[in-house]
Amino acid sequence: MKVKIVENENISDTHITIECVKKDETVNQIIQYLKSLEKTLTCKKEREIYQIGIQDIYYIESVDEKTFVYVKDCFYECPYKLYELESQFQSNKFMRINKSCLLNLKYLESVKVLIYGKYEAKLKNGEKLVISRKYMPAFKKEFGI
Amino acid sequence: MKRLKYFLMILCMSFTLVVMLNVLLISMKFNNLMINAENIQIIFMVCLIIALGTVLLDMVPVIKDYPVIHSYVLVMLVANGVPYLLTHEFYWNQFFIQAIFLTIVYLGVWFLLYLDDEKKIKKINQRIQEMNK
Repeated sequence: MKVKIVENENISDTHITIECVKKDETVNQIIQYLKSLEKTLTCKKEREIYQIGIQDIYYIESVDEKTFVYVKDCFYECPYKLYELESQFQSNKFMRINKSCLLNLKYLESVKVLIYGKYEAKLKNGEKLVISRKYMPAFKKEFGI
Repeated sequence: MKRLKYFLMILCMSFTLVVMLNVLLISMKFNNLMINAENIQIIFMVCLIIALGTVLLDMVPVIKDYPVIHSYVLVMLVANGVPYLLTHEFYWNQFFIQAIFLTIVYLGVWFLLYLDDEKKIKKINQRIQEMNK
């Protein structure tokens, strides 16, 4: 696959043209990914409403029936349930890593084995999250193991 | 249904393995036990309670996070408690032999699982690094 980027200062919006022999699964995945870049999630913080880009979310956590969305260095409250977001964001490389947490694999830096049969995911912002045994088979599968 | 399958799998596998191990030890003359109806009944009761305990403890929130520890404690308690309740006999030397044997088996299995996990995690970290390039 060849990628050609043409920079043009005279246009106001970015246009993406995909040239292919046939619209196959790979092309569909590219389209889905490009569309996901524009997806946002409505969240609130201190009575103010924010639109958070899906691609900026590091992880989503559910605590005491409330859902929190974590970006690089702050977090917001989200009105949706974790299972609703899980089905909605499956194509965006979000993955359930324990009962109350959805991780964006884009921000995963490394994984470590903990001595008592659990695993620890280290994110690019330095945060550490626990991957439970239950979700480990799906996690390994995602990485082809 | 999933839990029932898990329970039956533990029960069948542990019962078969313990009976086969006893038969092997008797045939090698390392064991002074006899395979008779009473002993098979005790082995079955021990395996049944361990299987039931494992499935039930796996449902308790904090305990289920430490499977190696809870299964070790459960096996030690049941393997020594049930024969005592059924026969009213307790031998300290047998208890210590069981404890040592079980500790070696658990540590061995845990170490092998840890090594296997480390190997898989190494591969995952390689993939993550490739993805991040």
